[in-house]
Amino acid sequence: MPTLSVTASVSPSTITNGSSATILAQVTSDGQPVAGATVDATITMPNGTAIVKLSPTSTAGAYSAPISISSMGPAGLYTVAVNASKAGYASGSAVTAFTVEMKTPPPTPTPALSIALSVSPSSIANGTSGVISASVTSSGITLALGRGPREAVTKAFELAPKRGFDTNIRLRLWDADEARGAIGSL
Amino acid sequence: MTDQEDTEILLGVIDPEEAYSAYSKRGFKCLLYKLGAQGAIAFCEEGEFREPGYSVSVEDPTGAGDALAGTFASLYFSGKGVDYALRHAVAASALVVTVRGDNEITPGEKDAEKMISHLRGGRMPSSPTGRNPPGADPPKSDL
Repeated sequence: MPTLSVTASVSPSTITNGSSATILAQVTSDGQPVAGATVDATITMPNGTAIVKLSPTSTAGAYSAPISISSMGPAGLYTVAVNASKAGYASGSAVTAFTVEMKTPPPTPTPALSIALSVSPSSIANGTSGVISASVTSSGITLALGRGPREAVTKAFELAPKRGFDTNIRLRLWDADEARGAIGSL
Repeated sequence: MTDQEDTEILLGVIDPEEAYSAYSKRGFKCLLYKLGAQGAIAFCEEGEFREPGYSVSVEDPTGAGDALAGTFASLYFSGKGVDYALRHAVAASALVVTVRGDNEITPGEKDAEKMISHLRGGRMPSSPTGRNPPGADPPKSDL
């Protein structure tokens, strides 16, 4: 019994979530294209698997299926196992993969210092003056992160006329004595 | 801005009023004392304000304290009254706990405003007896 041989690819091989790609498979036997095969692709995603049926294209022996990754689709490597079968042939398979990247980068971490500027009064006549003032808010977590962050908070607190501080003691970052010392001296 | 656990570590007391008295002696103008699901108390030069928490379905409490503190600080520093800042801060923290993660939703002043008007009457009772029994009249809102 002749054996089916399969080559598979995903185009493009890297996509962002919220966009789509095409799975392509070429089925041959003894170097000749094989039409009329049943071709399935099992996609293994970071969060589960899905099976997609490939349809024949106008090119003999070529099969394809569009896939779209939802905007909620997880980023990562998606593997694709393509299997082709046809009566009278031993079935064949091939494995390929594609990568899904996050469309939007993950949110940047909360800044160690929140600085707000305000101008008072908000409208002034020319020839008169207003005041720009800054408020700085930080937290115990920032102080616990090391000398650099601690010095930055100390400096900012020296400069800012309005200072806010959330004690936020995390005993996994430092012990109670260290927290008391650092927060107390600030 | 602090809570009971941190106050105990820093000052060795847990009573919010004692904490304020200790902090004000050190020159603090305002203390925001977080009470978790029960809301928060602001002790400031302008007076003492209490804001009970909202009864919301908690998906993930991460970030509630940050939303409370951040909203309070930004509104208070921008010159809004303590009462206004506190009311919006408690509403913002109630919004954050309804979503998994702490950064997925970052409610602003307007969102807090909507929360306040939507959930008016959906407050946690201020007595320590827990949630309202189903079907009970919502507690009167002081808004």
